[in-house]
Amino acid sequence: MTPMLNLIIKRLLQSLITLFLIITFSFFMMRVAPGGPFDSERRLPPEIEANIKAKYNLDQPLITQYLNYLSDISKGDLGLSFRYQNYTVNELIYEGMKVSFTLGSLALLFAVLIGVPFGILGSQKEESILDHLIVSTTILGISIPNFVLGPVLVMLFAIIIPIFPAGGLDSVGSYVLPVFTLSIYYLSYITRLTRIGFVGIKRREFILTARAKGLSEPVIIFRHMLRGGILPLVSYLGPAAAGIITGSIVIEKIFNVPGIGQHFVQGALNRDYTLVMGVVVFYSTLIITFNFLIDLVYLALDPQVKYK
Amino acid sequence: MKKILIILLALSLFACGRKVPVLEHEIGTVIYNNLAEPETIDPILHTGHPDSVVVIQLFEGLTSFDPKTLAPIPGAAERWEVSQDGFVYTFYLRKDGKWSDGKPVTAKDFQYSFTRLLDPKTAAQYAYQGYYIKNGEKYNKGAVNDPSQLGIEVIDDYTLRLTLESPTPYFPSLLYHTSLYPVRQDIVEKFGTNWTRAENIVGNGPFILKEWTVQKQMIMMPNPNYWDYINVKPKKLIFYPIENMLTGYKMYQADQIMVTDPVPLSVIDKLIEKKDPELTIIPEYSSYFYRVNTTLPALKNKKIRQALSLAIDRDKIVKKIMKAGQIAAWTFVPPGKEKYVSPEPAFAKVDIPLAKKLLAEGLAEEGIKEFPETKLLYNTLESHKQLALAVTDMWRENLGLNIVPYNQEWKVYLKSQQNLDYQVSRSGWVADYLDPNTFLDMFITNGGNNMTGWSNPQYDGLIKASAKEQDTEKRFKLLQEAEAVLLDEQPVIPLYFYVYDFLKKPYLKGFYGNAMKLHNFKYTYVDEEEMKKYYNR
Repeated sequence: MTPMLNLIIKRLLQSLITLFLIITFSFFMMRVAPGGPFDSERRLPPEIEANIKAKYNLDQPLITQYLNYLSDISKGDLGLSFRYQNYTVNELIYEGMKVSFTLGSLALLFAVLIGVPFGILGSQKEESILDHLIVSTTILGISIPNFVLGPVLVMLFAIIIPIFPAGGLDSVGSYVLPVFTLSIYYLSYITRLTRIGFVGIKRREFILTARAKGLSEPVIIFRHMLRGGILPLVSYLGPAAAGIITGSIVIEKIFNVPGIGQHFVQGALNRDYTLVMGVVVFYSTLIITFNFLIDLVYLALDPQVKYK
Repeated sequence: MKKILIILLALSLFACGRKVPVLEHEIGTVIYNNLAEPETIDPILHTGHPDSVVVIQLFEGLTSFDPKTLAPIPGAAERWEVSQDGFVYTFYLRKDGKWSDGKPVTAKDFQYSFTRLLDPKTAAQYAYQGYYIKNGEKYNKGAVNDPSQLGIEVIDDYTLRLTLESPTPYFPSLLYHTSLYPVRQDIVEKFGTNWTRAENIVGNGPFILKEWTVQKQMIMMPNPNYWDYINVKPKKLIFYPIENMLTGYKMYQADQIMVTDPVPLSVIDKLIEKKDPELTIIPEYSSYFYRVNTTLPALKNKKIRQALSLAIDRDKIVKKIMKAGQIAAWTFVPPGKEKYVSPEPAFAKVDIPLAKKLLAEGLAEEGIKEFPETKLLYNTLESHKQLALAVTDMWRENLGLNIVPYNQEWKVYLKSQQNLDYQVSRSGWVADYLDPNTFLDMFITNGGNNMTGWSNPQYDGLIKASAKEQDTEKRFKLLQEAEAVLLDEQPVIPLYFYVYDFLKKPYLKGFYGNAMKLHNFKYTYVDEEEMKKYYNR
């Protein structure tokens, strides 16, 4: 067996165990929280409550429910939502994911396309006015919370100067404000990471050698520096990709975007056990997968990383 | 600064050729914010208000409601008769009533639907709306297993006879509660939980569901098979589920929706001050109050509860904190039902000397030297918090009591309240139907929604007697007496009556606010002339 294959198998096993632990932990955490999916301001007669519990198998012992859940989930069935009774959790996650995925990918793409060039630019003109400008702008970008930026942008570009819609996702224009708001933090972070990576590598011997050989600047940047300089960014991209796709909860609220994040928050508040579990499983799988993929890319990029 | 202004100016020039989002839709489209994603649009299983509003468009009960006054009007039933003793209602269905697939609406459909509502296996949360029907409660609770024992009788295709447990004078109003709307047996059985999907659903209401994208939108079209099709005014209906009220407000400002509510607290007073013509505020049939746990050593004393109530300045609460025109409450049943007038309360203004006196007497009666440590529970929400802080301040200043507010997340709070695991707790009640009974019958001894531990035989007797009384005037008198007992005993401290505040574009006509926020959009339409004028300002 090649070391590569060995590593992949090992990682897969680790991931499965992690996932199992997450499911178990979340399942029981949800049930410990007081209140259930069918508690409301109008208290139900005990008989009606019993009927409902029986319908959803909530009257069985917790351990039976847990085992049933594990068995269903191993078949890929996340169950019926307790709250949105006409939909399965699989459907809700699939519909939400399409939206969150589109939004997240666009935001990440935007962040990388703008962030990387500016990062390189900053590192090449280190300590220049331009560099300082880039650094200070990115600090601003990292520190403005998106629940402030979003409403401000809506105020400016949807109401005072009505170019874009204030919410919803039904036209190309309606993507602009949420994508921009979502990406600004990542954009700033990516710019800084790229800059740091390139500044670090600039002084390495092999770059000095390349310069001594009289290679042109673009060749040095793209042939020699890119591979090493981009490493900090690559290791960040895994969590960032997972975060940007899953972490748009605030954006979804502000812009009324029908993504998956709302299900996570609302689901927990509503004690929609199946929906919350479904989203947890989905998120965890996503994060584990991204990290795994990034590990592979890392291996391919940096010869110094051994198969450990 | 100058530069920014120039940029803004340039951008606004660029924006001059902008499109108004509502004008992008087909003319005659009505766009509404339904406030949340419906949980289900199966009438019998529905629970929340957003569900109801959709059900009203897609289905129609035996009775319907007047969009302004909420008085019951003919719906699927053309007319009805009540027996002398008030026990038996006979409904005559309209012969031209059709389902959206063209089949006639018959008495059997209603029999099936009511039975399905009460069937324990359906596990409907609103099953108790069917408890008025004879044996309804017993069947739902498993004491009667034969559905033919229910007081539902099909005389012929177009005649339905309902026998009630007891005469219920407001029964025609109950019938437009959306859990009592009809569904089609063959469709429900054929498609299971998927029967409410746009491609499967069959209804008898003014609209048919064309598209339902979760968390995004619902699109409805007029139903050509509806008996009153010619009077269904919108060409198309779009519902958005915008939960965040600030987002709803901004989308309204950006002309993406035509109606939104509630108006955010941060802007409402400004809109009221400049008398914004797009703002409407009307009383809502719901009440905001504090429950008192009457099983506790000090709080079980009536005088102490009265003292707590007397020390709260309601006017200050509605004017300084709520600010949206809410009505200060010293009585429990909100105004809004014709002919019912709440009793003159013994206390109707802040009276600190009296409050102090009552507190001292109460403590002496209970043999307590010092008022025990007490806390005020509220569910996590900014406005509840502000109000709790204000009220506890008043108790501190006026009575020298140190009552500390604390919050719990919604479901935790519900459990605490149900288990009487609180001392004083913030509460609200929204009417199930337009009758004072919906507010008063909850405080009978051991009532499921009592949740104060309070029990009073005189009160129970009055509520029971009123349920049997057929004469509205006499019945209201009994309920009035009951409310007087409740106000004297103060197991609940009324604080204010809610209002329904909404923004509506001036070109949208036939959209009426009413005390229960029930909307039948068949009456609503866009005045094109006015719409043009509005956007050419």
